[in-house]
Amino acid sequence: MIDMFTQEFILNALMISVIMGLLLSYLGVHVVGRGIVFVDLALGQISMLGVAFGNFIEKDQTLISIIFTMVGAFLLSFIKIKDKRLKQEAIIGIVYAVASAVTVLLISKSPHGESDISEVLFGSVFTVTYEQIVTMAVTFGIIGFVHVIFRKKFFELTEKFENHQIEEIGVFNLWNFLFYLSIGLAIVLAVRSAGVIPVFSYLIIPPVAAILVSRKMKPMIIISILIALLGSFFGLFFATQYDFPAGSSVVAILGAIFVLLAFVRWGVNLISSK
Amino acid sequence: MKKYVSLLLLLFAPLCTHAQLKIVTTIPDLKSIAEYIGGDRVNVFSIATGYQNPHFVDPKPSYILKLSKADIFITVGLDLETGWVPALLNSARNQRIQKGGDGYVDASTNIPLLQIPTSVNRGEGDIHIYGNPHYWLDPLNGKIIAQTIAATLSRLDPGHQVQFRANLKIFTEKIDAKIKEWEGKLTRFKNTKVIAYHNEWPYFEHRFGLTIVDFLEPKPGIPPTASQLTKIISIMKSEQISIIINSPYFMSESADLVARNTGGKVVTLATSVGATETIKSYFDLFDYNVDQILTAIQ
Repeated sequence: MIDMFTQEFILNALMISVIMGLLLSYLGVHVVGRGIVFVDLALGQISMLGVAFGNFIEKDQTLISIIFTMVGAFLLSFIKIKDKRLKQEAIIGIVYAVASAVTVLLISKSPHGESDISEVLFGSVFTVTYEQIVTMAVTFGIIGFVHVIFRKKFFELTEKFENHQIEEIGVFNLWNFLFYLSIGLAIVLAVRSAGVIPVFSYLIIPPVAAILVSRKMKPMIIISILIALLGSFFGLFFATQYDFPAGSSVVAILGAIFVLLAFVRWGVNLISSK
Repeated sequence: MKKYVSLLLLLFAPLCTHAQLKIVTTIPDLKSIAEYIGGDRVNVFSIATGYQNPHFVDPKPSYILKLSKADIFITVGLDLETGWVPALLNSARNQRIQKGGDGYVDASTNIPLLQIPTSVNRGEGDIHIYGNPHYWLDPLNGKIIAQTIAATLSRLDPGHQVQFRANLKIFTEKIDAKIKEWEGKLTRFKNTKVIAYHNEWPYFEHRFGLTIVDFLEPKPGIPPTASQLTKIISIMKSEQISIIINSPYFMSESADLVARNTGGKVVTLATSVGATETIKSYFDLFDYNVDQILTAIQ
């Protein structure tokens, strides 16, 4: 048994998980509302493609990866499907698949194979540095600030996507671009500190679980953030007590919270239908 | 006088077992060697297991805790563990075992490295820019690793120098004796051509006289491609190669496919101590691999 609060690395992990959880579970409300849950994997894959490309041309991988993600976010913000048979998700899925494929193609022709790339991609919150925490706190703080200040604009947009009022959004919509830009930035940073799957889970599981509890926007946001914080804390607690990798533990706990709420919801439905 | 001192030390040795040196190694092979040299003076923990690919290790809390309390950290070095060791050491906040610290041991010190890339072949796909890091698979390099470890132990626990030196001598002599046995068993198969999955056998090949012709991976770290497998199948047919060496942590599908198409055999060799339950020490590792090759060729 380890007393988790006496270990600096666990406190660091908790700190970075809380920062990530706060912002990602909030952005996740938009992501789930718009029905673009795979946007995280697509942008994550584009950032990976940037790393592979940087490796291929032997230039700075971090910089190129960020540029790739920004350009990717810009292009994704143009996706507006007027055909009701299709969903944005379809295009995002295609972006994900093609980006993965091109990454593999680039790696197979890169001078140093896989090893350089894996270093950048498989972060663990147990090994984050103080600098990483500061960088993330500042960037996520700015993104969060912009989102809180202009929350009306962002939520109006998300509602339009939800209600399929595509014509009103326009070809280039600044707020839509800013939304993708903020998601892109958040994902690039978060993936490096925590890995792809935990980031995806922070973005999707809390808002979906929150929808089970409330359909109203405000309580949904609060519950989503609460779930992310609970998941971070108990995920790391679980990892510390039973010696597991951090990312998978947090995902497992978030999943458990989701299942629990799904059962509660089912029970409530059962009682109210009688 | 010296005799009495060591006698005295022997007498008191059981009393100071609590002052064992705490050692953390990256792979179990280094743990095994450290235990041979340190004997009851050391308490050794290996982060990676023997059936795990040492290029990739997912950090667990216990690794960082062990590192934060360690007196000595022994790493394979070169760039085998660059994906995880620097991050773990950084989180452990233990000055003794940071690179350049008193307890930091790079086991590759003094090892005659193979496949050190020149600027020319770097573009051809070498992922290991300092040379191939799988050097512990040559038992003679095991002796050099043992010397490096003995030197560090003697420096940090000078009171037991005599014991470490004696253990080193026993270990070295045992390697010399065993290597004759191993080479003897494989001597009939000198220059036998084989195919390997990943480029991790140059030291083994070098010591025991096998010839690895090509790899299932088109380049290290890139999973086998169709064109590479086709190429291997035709090489195996034209050069009458019948053995494909796989490692415990690689999927055997590609190797099996090639074997089916060529009538060859897949031999899974252990890359580290602990790869199977029977491989408990550095010596078991070579016993096992030599036997695997013998049964496959016969």
